[in-house]
Amino acid sequence: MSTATINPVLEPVKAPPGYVANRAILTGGSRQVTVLALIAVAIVLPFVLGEYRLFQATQVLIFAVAILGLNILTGYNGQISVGHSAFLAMGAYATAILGIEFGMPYWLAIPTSGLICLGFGFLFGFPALRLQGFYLALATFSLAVALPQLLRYKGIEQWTGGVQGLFVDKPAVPAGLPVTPDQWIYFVTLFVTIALFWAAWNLVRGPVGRAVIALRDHEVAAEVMGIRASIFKSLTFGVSAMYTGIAGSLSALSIQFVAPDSFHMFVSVTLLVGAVVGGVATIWGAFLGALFVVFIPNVAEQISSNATWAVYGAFLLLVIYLMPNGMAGGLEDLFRRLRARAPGR
Amino acid sequence: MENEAFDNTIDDQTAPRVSVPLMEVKDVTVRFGGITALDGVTFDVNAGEICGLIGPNGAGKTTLFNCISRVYNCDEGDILVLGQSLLSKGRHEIAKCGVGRTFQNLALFKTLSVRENIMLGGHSTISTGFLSSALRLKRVTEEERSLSERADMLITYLGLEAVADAPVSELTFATLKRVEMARALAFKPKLLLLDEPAGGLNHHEVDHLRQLISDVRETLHTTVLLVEHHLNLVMDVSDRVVAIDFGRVIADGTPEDVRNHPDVIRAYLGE
Ligand SMILES: Nc1ncnc2c1ncn2[C@@H]1O[C@H](COP(=O)(O)OP(=O)(O)OP(=O)(O)O)[C@@H](O)[C@H]1O
Ligand SMILES: [Mg+2]
Repeated sequence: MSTATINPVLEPVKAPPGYVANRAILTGGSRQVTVLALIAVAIVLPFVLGEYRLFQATQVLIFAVAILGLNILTGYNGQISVGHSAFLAMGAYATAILGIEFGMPYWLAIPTSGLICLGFGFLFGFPALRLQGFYLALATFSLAVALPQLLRYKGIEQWTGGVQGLFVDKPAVPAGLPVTPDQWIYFVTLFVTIALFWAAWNLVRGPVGRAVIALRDHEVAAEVMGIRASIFKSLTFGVSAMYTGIAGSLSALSIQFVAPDSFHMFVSVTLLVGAVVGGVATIWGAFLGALFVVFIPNVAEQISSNATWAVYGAFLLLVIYLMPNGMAGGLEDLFRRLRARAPGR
Repeated sequence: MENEAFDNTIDDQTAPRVSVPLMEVKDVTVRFGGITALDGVTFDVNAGEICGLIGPNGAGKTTLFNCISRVYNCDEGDILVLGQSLLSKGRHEIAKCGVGRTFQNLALFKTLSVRENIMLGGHSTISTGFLSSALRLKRVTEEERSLSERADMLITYLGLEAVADAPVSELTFATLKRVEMARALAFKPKLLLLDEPAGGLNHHEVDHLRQLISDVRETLHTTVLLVEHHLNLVMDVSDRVVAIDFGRVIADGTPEDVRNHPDVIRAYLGE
């Protein structure tokens, strides 16, 4: 039997008025060039930035990874988490404890921390599947409020350092490399960020991403098409926790210190802000969101040191109002409008 | 397109159609609180046939589809496909058993494009997991290619080229009915359940749909169970028709017999 002889029976559907077939602003070659150019800039950056700016650049990368993790879960899969600071904390503490107690080198501690968070995320995601919308949000919230206190708990103080927290060794620069330790941690972070963004990009544009979105859009139909919702959603939770956990691991290495107070529940909200402001269910929006959450508080403080958070809130409202699809969506619209106006089009 | 995973030939299609029950619905009963939506429903669907399923509003047609695709649980009875009980399967295993369906009120993935919706319909034929997909292994790209070839074929078959890359949220109901059918055909189902495919179509389009349903059986070798209120369409296209009313089978036979059955006439005229 062959399906090659199939002839259409129905009259072809006409495209709706005003319909534009290809909306991607960057395709194929130009996308690769843009990505390579950005990576080139990122490689040069540590040699031109001062110490503090370099630290901030590292923080942007770390936040980008953490926000990407949340976006995989909340943006693509529609499971709302307001507790991702818990996974940030888990990754950070895992790295600190693995280094201090087991003498694990940082390059091994980063993926190991990620795997620990993957496991936790999966296990947490499994029962949480029964919870929808607000209830899932509350369950994740409870994780985020509980964890800092648990980390302070006296009974495990010998591991976690209690209220004092733990000091983490800065990754040593490999012998012979002409970079400072700050530049080195930046490069480690950059490498991990590129690898994780690449993997996420592969995931979302392939069969898994399609399935993750399908589960968000119509779970019953997705199951009828052969997707096992329980396993798939838990795995998505796990992968999301792994991304955010690796971000936590990198933050422990770059700040060289972990303490319960660094993972206040407010950090979860910051991640959510980054995901939404950057652009829900976009990959590079995570990066834009990271720029926002790292720099806007500083900008706000410069504008008014008394009303920093009011100014921050105003910025937030401005973005939401002007760019309903986040900064990624806003920039794409802008780009499209510019291109439409460009001569020769 | 000669892909093992897609081959749904269950017997020699060139031979005269033999009456092997592809699906057996046995004594299926479903209750929602006080009401009994299905009450001991029993009938077979034979391989290679187009079987119509008719009945007035609320008769239980969609409920039966939901039982077959494991969206609802049956309170009593059993449903077998090629001798295998579906009730021991999970909802996600139904496609693997060869059963595809469309939904009466549409159940598309609204943020995905037409092509992506159709490719997702073939999800049961692939083996890609998170890790292989994240690393974009060769197997993944090969599976993607075969899914996308199948989708292209169905896009052409159903005349969806002009909107193939549009998100489905931008399209009309009639177009979306086609997308649903393409999605259900993506994994080469042995049995296709169509829930009111003529909903929202005009006279002219119904004529085309009639040809399409016959053609799906002839060229895609898919057995069809068709739920439709458009009785002329059902009677024209079906080899056999089952009529239900208040969750009970009231007639089962040739279109002619069922059309003239006193209980069917009574159910429709609402005596
Ligand atoms: N999830 C549900 N909960 C409660 N009652 C339900 C549910 N689904 C269906 N029913 C009831 O079961 C009966 C059969 O409904 P069903 O949707 O199967 O009818 P149908 O034959 O498909 O009708 P129509 O032609 O209008 O689509 C109806 O009385 C309906 O109200
Ligand atoms: Mg119905």
